[in-house]
Amino acid sequence: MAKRRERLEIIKDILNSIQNNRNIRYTRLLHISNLSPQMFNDYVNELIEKKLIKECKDSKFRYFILTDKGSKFIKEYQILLNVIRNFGL
Amino acid sequence: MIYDFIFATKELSKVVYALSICLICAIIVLKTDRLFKLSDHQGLRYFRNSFLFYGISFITRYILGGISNPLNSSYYNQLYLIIINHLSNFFIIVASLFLLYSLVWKYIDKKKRHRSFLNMQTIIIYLLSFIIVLLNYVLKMNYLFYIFQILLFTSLTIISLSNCLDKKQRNKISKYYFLTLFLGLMIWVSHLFAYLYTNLNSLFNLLIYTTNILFFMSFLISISKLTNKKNG
Repeated sequence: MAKRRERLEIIKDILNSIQNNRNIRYTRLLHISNLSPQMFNDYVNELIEKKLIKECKDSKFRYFILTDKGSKFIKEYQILLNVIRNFGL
Repeated sequence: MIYDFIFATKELSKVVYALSICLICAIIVLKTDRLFKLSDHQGLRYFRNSFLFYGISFITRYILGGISNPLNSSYYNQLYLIIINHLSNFFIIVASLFLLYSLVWKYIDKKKRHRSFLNMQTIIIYLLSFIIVLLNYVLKMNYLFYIFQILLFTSLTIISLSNCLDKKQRNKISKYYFLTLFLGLMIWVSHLFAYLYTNLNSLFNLLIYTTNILFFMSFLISISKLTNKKNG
């Protein structure tokens, strides 16, 4: 059985997917994220609210791009994880 | 010789002591700022709150409390000192409760995201702290404050030990964190001793203050090591 992901790990995975797939569309990101649609929407809305990603629309589709803050999160993720794990937070 | 100097400049030494700890707490809060802003992690939120309130408690007790006779009346001076003392105790209890909550929040409240200082959990923390301080004052049982702190730090030490023993979380700094919290527990036991046995000499009190600085320094050293960008 697959290990249950923590919240931060899910966020990191979504951001990585956006970083690795330029202008990734909503449905593809939903598929890659391996989350239920409701949970996926909750995470995406949180990431947009926190300005880690940006939602764009062309004539037909919604797609996402990574912001500078989102890139910083990916870079700082390991440091954050170390602090959380070492202090048991 | 150093002891004689410190004892001779007692009031100044207290101010230096308080400012040192405030500075350490401020650095810890600042060093974790960028990580918290990026992640909005609950545990980190309460961890930072803890050090903010520790800093505030030391400013209250040693800086505000060190202002001699702000009101030109011995009665109001006494009242002022009583208020300052209880306010400082309130902030210390809040800080310790935040530190405890930073370790247990994930078992109680996983999903919600809150404001840092005003949400249901923090209101409960403020209320509980107020109740302890009120009981302390009303029942004239000043040692109640120390006993509560000992209970909090015993809980912190046990939780930290179980994190250490957990294979996934066992590493050098988590063991170091456990030892730091155990040191905190010993400090509060010493405080209770010093309160109950007032004939203990000033050297014992000086030892407690020094150990207190070491306690906060060890947090700072751990945070500095972990947040050093090269370690990312």
